[in-house]
Amino acid sequence: MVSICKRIALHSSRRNTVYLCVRLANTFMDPKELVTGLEKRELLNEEAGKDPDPYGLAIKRGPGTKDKPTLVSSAFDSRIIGCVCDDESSHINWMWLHKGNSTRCECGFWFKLVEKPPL
Amino acid sequence: MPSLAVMASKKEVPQELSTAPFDPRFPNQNQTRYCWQSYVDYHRCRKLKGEDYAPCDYFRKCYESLCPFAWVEKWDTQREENRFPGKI
Amino acid sequence: MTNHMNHTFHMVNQSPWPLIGAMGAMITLTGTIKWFHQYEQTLMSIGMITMIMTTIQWWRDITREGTYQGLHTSKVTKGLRWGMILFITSEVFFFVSFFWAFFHSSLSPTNELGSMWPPTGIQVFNPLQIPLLNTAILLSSGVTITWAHHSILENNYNQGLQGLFMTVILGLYFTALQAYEYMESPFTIADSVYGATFFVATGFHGLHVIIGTTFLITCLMRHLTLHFSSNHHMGFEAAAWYWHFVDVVWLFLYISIYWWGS
Repeated sequence: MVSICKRIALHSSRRNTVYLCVRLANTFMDPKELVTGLEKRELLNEEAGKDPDPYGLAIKRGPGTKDKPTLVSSAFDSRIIGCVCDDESSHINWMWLHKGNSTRCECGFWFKLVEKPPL
Repeated sequence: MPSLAVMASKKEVPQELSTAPFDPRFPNQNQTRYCWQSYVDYHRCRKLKGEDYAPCDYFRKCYESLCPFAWVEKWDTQREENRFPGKI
Repeated sequence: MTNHMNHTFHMVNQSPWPLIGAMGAMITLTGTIKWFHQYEQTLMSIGMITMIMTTIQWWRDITREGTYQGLHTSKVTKGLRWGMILFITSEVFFFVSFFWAFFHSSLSPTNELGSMWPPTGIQVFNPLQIPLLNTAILLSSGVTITWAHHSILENNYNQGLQGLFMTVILGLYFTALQAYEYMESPFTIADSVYGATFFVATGFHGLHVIIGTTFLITCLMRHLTLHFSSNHHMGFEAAAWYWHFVDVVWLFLYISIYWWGS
């Protein structure tokens, strides 16, 4: 019981010191200090200007022949992709793309999974 | 069944029958408002012009033809008890 | 989490709150009906407590996911923005229905009301007394919350705090005045369609004021505990939008029911 009280007192006094400092300084926390997790990684990535497309969303189909398949990046072993066979076609041909072999859409375009580390 | 001649001899002089005339203010099938307006107008006329003013009777004839008797009774009771909603 | 996904969206973990909230809503509804018919409030109270606890815990979880775990990326925040806008739009339509009822009854008053509006015998509130003060209060609260928002955007912590605090005070003042008006009212909800339209419209508005004030108080707590930053304060923006909506509804209420309808 006493130890819990001591813990509570210690933690709240530490917290309140931070609040007091912020009030005296009259600024919010620096956004870069406040963010955490995925939001932080996205922010850092954007600032460093490293990778404009961290999730591999902006992949456009290239020539897509058997020798030069369209490279699709993924952090995992499989990924779903959709092939729009013709520029004006409104039908999307969805398929799984697994690590290893290239996959061919019914209309003849080839795709290959390429390793890319996650954000 | 009496013959036509007998029926014809028993014919009485028909009275003057009349009803509320067409009022363009109330052209549709629902004539509730016409009944209400005639009732209110009659009592306003009576209040303004007194008991002997004959033209007020026009409104009375209108509402007596148009209004269900139950409504007239209800409104008369409300007027007596000083809780009639309309402005007279 | 990144072991299982590499995208910018937030796939929420399994949560009991949607189901419990739905069951709580059903219990509240059934309990309210029981109250109306059998005069027992127990079931309704159980339902309302369930719903309040659910909302507290659900939004606590969202705060944990957003602020403490950083799962609210910019795309997620955009989605939340859209969600709030659509919700407020649905609330607008909710109020439209009560305004419709009011105008339906008041534009062509029936014979039973004496063909006049306000109906015979109804003693209306003077629009230039407390209702006008309430209008001034809500308009001022709109100003204070905008001030608070701009302070947050300009990284001014203390002024943001003051603006938010003033907005809450004004909201509570409005609620207190409206409660006083309700208690001192010469007519009740049962007094012809006037009473019905008046109390249903202003009553739901008052409920929304209370909800909005609660939302603002929550933002005040989060502000004090440094959850917000100058570029990420979606919860505050949502509260501000909701508050402006409440203010606008009041303006419509004042102009149609209190002023035109008197």
